[in-house]
Amino acid sequence: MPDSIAPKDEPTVFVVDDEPDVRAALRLLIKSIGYRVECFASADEFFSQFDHNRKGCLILDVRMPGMSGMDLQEKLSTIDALLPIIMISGHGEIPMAVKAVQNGAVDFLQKPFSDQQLLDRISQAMDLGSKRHDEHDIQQDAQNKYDSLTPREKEIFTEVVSGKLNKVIAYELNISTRTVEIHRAKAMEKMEAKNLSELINLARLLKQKD
Amino acid sequence: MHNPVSDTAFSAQQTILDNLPVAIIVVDKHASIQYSNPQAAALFSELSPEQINLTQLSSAFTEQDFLKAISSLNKKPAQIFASPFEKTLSFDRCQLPGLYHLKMVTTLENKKSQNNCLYLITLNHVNNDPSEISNEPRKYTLLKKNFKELKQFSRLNAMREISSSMADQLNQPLTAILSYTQAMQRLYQSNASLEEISVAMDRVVINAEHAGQVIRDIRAQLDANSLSCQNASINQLIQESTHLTELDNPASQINLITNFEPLNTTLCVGTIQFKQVILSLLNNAIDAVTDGSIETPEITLSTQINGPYYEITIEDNGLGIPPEIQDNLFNPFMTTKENGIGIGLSMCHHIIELHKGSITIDSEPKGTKVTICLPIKNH
Repeated sequence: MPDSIAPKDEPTVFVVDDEPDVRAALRLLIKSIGYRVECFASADEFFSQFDHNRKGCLILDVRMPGMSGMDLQEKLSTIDALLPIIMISGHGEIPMAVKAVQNGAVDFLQKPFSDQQLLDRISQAMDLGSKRHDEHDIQQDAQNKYDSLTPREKEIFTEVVSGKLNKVIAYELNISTRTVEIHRAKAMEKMEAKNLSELINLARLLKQKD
Repeated sequence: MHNPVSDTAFSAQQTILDNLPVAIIVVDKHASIQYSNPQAAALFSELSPEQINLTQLSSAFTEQDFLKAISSLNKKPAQIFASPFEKTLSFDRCQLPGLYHLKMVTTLENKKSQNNCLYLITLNHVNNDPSEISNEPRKYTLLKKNFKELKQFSRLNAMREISSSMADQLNQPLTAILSYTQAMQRLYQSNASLEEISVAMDRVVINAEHAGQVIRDIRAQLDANSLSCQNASINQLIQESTHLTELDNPASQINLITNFEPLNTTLCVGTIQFKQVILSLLNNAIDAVTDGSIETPEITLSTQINGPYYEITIEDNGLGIPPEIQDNLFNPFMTTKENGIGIGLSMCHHIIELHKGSITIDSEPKGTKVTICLPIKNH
């Protein structure tokens, strides 16, 4: 149950487990080292309120009635969620653990686990989560800048970062070199790139589309 | 089912073999099936011979012989699993002579209708002497020889399942106890409020008691044959079972309705086993209504006196039971639960039978109603 008082942008450890006592114990344990905790009794409950912008990590029980932990992991992955996942399970199924880790889980802990092991993984996952968010912010920023370009500027931007000279671009697009230079300068300004290599770096961050 | 032998001694054995939770086939030297139990028919009904890995098979009985036997069994209509998933089987030699472990693997992940069941087959070699072909008693003597081993094996198998179920059931309270205690240590060191620590301590006690109850229940399950009956209020036993479930949690979303008969009748029952039955049925009902798709989960618990019977009903408004498995609900290892082993209902059935009562399950299109009838006298 989310605490409405605490700011939602504070990094949070989300716990999804169908056992009320496991939830309560984990809440207490994680709170004891100073993290903000939110608990959910089912994968569906968590998924229905999931917010891309929330930072933190997810502690996820594998076996639950309704949507299983593995299903939730898959669902989060298809929507490109950034939240690192620590899987927990009362069953030591190795194939399932391998699958979870292959699908990007930070770790797969078998219940009952030691607090130190769990807390280490949480702090690791929290770091990873904030790193992913930073990268995502940078990428989003580049995308926003790119989206502000006019169609012509986008066209010239693409040509420039593919390494073509202004002269070649002008010839290909059948416009004057001067026009290319103007659009190029405008695009550099909007992308806030000081030089070509910065522009290329920004281009790398953009999602492959169009 | 082939049943060429009609004498009563065999029929009595056959009833038992029919009900053992393992697949049994008796085949003669010509690879024709002399006997097969329903479990065997269910196992092979959908299986093509190519799906069977026979590398471990006895040398006395060739692969071809076996495939022939399986093919004849295959012609029978599918009995249980008319589902689309594939199964493959492989054999392992068992420590008992003439018996084979059969490993079944379903291709559908997470959907184990039968959970890694161990099945086994007896391959009996009836003497090929023409004078003996019509000698019916010979077959059942052979069966008798294996019979003791079969019972022993299925008991071992059940124990294995019970111990794995025990591990699963103990894990949850142990995880809670460990995490609560570790949190308490940290809270104590950080001079947290005593109240917070005390709440956690209460939960540790409750979970430790729960773990103890799991062990007692399993122990009771193991010697369910020897009921120690005592007079007890059925209403009270039911309430005690309720306390061990999620329904006791104030945060539970499930609406529990109880209609207890007012006389608070006492019956002579094995209290531990009886509570085990109610707990198992309640847990099934809870699972059925917490699927996530039920908007107002509700469980109704009623007791009433109906002529010479004491009737207990547990009704839920969950998803109900798929029609294709309704006939096999009480079979050991039949489960629709992802982490179930299919021992709950068969154990319930067994325990209620020991009380000379009956247990029936109705599942309309939606919801499930389990009715237990116990005779009021002659317990």
